[in-house]
Amino acid sequence: MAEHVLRTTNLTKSYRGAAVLKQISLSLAPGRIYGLIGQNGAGKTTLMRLITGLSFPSSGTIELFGHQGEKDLQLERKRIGSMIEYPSLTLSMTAQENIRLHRIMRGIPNKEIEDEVLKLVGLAGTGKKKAKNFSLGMKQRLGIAIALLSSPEFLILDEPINGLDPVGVIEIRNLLKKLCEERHMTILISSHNLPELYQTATDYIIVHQGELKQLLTQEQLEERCKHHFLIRSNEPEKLVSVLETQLHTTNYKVMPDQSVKLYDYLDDKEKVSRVLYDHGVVITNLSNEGDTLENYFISVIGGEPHA
Amino acid sequence: MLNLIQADLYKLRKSAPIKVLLAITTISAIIMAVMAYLIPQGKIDPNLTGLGFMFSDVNVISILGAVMAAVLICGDFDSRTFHDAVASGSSRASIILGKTVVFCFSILCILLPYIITTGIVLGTGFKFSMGSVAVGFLNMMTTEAGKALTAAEMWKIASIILSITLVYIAQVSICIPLAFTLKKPVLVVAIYYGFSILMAQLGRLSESSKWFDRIFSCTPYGGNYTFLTLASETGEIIKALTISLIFIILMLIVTYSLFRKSEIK
Repeated sequence: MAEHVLRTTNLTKSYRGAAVLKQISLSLAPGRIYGLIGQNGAGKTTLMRLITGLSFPSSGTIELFGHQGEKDLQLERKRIGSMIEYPSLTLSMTAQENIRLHRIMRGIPNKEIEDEVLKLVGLAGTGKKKAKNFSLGMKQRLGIAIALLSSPEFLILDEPINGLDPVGVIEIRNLLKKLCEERHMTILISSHNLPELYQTATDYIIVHQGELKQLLTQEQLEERCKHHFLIRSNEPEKLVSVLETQLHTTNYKVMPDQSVKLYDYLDDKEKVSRVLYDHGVVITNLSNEGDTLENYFISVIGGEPHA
Repeated sequence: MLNLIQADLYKLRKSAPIKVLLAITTISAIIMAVMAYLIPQGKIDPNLTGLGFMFSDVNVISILGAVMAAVLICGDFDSRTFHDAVASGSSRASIILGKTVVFCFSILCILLPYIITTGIVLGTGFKFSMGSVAVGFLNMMTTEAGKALTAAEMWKIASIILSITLVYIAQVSICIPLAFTLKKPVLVVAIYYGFSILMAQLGRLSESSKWFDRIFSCTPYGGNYTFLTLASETGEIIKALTISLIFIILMLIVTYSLFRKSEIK
């Protein structure tokens, strides 16, 4: 098995001289759920279109499952399931007929897979109802079912929870997590709904104005978003000692710049300040830090700086 | 590519517009034959030949052929079926080739009522006429009906039917690159209808210019390819078949060169 499901190197896409994706280099490891975050026009859909072959890169390379080159990529795309922008639906057909059409198109002989994927996305009971009479949420579910038809190893979903009701959102979230855990599927998912993405993804790719701003794991993101006191002192050893002996906490982290992040006593800044002062620790900074995912995202893309 | 063809045939079977097109050509073929039967008997005003011609194969196919391309090709852009095919690893060449095969088959399907009507008419032994306006199957019907046919002539008629069918398919095959490029059904139908009228006018120009006739007869729109009858020589029939096949292949190449590196939006 390839070490990376997807690897892009200096991937650039321009339209009439204007670059919409600039030198994107990233690697996606197997069995992870990657949340692709970016504003409208950031380049999320363009990146997905390039991966799936709907567009061609202006420069740079794409490698899928360790293979690159047009012919090989085409072959490797058979291991991908995708839903980009809108689901691929024939509106005059029922859910089952749509699934059958795509099953035949992909040369999948197993007919049982039709009921299986419809059941997975909760559309098993739609009977003779045509896709044109489906709600937006049902169309999204059907699109996801089509993407899952070939039991892909790499699933690419562009705004899959658009139009879904709250229960539908939870169901799709649970489905994606299940697919990732049970089938070791790699999922690249874009969404504007950051709190939702936060509950689904294991890794985050932040793009802004065509540039890759950050690729970080859930743990790294949590670390950056977690509320804490940022304490700076000229005597970090003494500071840590006081925290442990007087405030009885080990819930802190010493950063490379010798500042200390304290995750306890967040509601009692006065106590922390007083105890440190009483024990002779000279502090140069004691501030409340931490962000919501939204605030962190905004700070990364160049809004209010992240402290 | 076989998967794509099978999927397209499945879609065709489920498609209401295709059934409507088939119904239109069936009704048109019957009206055309009935009018061509009643006009020589004086039961219908001979001035209505223009109306009869409206229902003839050449006229109906010049509209419905483009509609078929719009339904089959533009429809797949609308439903994002092409997107899914590319994203799941089908090559653009196989998409074009598969689509062309199904397009040719579907044109053959909507021509079938005319082919069957022509066969029946030739078997009746009655006289049929649509005045001076007759092209394609209507021309064959009005020229050959009422004659006793030998076995050899029947074989020749079968080969002429095959040739005319292929000429029609070749004529409308220009809709394939149009549909892959324009993606809008209205544009494809309108442009092809205008194009077919232009080709009819150019056909007249070829009567007055030999060199133009020579060039024009290298396309399925020129020559006398839609005027084949029992009087036509075998060489003419083979030429019609060859030029039609080459033209379809040329359209395939043009489509591939246009679609090969195009963005699928």
